[in-house]
Amino acid sequence: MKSNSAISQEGVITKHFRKEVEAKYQEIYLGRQQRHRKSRNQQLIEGTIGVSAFIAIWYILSHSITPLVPDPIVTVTTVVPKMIEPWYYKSIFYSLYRVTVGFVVASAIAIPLGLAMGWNRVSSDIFTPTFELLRPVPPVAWVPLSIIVFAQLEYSILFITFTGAFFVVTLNARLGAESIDQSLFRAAWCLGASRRQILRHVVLPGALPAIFTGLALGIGISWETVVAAEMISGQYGLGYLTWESYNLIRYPEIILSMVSIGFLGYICSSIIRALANKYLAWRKVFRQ
Amino acid sequence: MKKKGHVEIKNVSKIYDPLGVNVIAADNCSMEINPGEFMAVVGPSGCGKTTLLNMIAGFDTVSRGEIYVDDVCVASPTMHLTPGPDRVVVFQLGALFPWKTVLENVTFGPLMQGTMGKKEVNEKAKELLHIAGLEGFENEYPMMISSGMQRRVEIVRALINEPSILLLDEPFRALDAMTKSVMHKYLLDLFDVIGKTILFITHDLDEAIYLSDRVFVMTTRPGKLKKWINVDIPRPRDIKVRVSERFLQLRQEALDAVHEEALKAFERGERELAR
Repeated sequence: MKSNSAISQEGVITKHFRKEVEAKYQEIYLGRQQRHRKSRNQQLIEGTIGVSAFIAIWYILSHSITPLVPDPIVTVTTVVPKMIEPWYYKSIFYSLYRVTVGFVVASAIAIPLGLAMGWNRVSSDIFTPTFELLRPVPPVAWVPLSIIVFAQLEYSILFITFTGAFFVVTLNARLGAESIDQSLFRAAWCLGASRRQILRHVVLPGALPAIFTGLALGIGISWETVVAAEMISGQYGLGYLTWESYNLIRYPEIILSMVSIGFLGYICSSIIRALANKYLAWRKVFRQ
Repeated sequence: MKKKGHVEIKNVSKIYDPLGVNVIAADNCSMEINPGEFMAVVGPSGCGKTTLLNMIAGFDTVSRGEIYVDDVCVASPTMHLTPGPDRVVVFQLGALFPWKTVLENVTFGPLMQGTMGKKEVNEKAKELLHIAGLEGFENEYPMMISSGMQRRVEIVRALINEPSILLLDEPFRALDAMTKSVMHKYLLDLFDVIGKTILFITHDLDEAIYLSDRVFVMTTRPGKLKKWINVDIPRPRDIKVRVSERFLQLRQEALDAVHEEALKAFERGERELAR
């Protein structure tokens, strides 16, 4: 058989390739792990130094230039008892609810829209002019209009968090779909995939890295806008709490709600990042 | 029954009309590829080799003429584009789906067409990957394997559809010299085993003569037939062929033809139309 020589020769080549692949794995995975192990302690120390310096500067400033700002010690002692009160959690719940609903609804519309604009010339022609006209409008500028349009304040705030995420997610989904190599479409085409199958197996996975970038940006903007919207027109919520604390001269609580917003925003983007790592496993080895 | 893999290109022309100026990419090209024949198309850069392949694959319309695969018309000026698994392309820079594993890439065609059950197609894919020396890499993502292996996966992905003709569009262009020579040997051995009709586009004369049964040398734009070269070097071939007297003769013959065209193109100040 002619094929025998081919296969045995291939065997040798395969062995050679296998070594190459293993070496690559070791370089990427183990190398990174080692680097991490070495630097973890150092990172911890450096991080602690940074935070301590920040608190020290805050302390000094509150006792010199800005005497109205409560110092760290006063803040912690005033704020900790407040943290077990129900209104604090009610505020968190409202802000979280507004961000989540606005963000999820926005993504559910923005991802298909962006993919359609990036993949299909006709839908790009239809949507692009309107989209590009509305996109530069900052979400906060929508506040008066949304109050007029939606009879209930709650809906107008949801609409604001929606706009915060909507444009950036659409834009990124679109760029993601546009960036897919044309030969992948051709490959799928000549392998017999239908348009629906190309959407499912080429457009969506190909745009997914960009979509996740859009989602990470979008949730951040949703948080920024929810706080602004609550300050202007809200009841409950962390933005409202910040503003109320100012009006009632409860300065430590301003800091509490600010820190809470930062913390929740961080949690939200961590969730997005975890999802991205899960669904983008195919390119994980090339990160960092 | 006639053997599968007969391709006939009848007086095919391709005229692009960007900006109202006719650019003739292929001019009255005719060729007949017999079942189980390894045909190479060479020509200077930008002569329309890839256009020719795209028209056969169904990615590009023909302006004049017809293309038949196994006596079925697949392209004519009045037809819509009809790419399909009977004419699978292996691309210049590779087109494996980076988000699918090697196995998922290979099984893509039959699963999309719904011609085989999942279990059946997985078995067949593993068998083909074994022949290609890729067993054990089924669950790797394309980015993790070397470029030579990627190209072999792509060839396997095409073969699993049992195409009438395999269209290779400068598939080894981006590979380094050593990987390239390994891939040449691999393709030669594979061709001896499977006996598929292959159309191989390249600008590399040595490669064309080394691999193929017949070389179609194209003129510079507008691309048409310059010369046929019959490669009568017996198979199975290996690297020694490349220093044999017959090979050098054929190479000289082809070189003269191509060089003349390359000079013409150069004088016209044409550069490669980068795809």
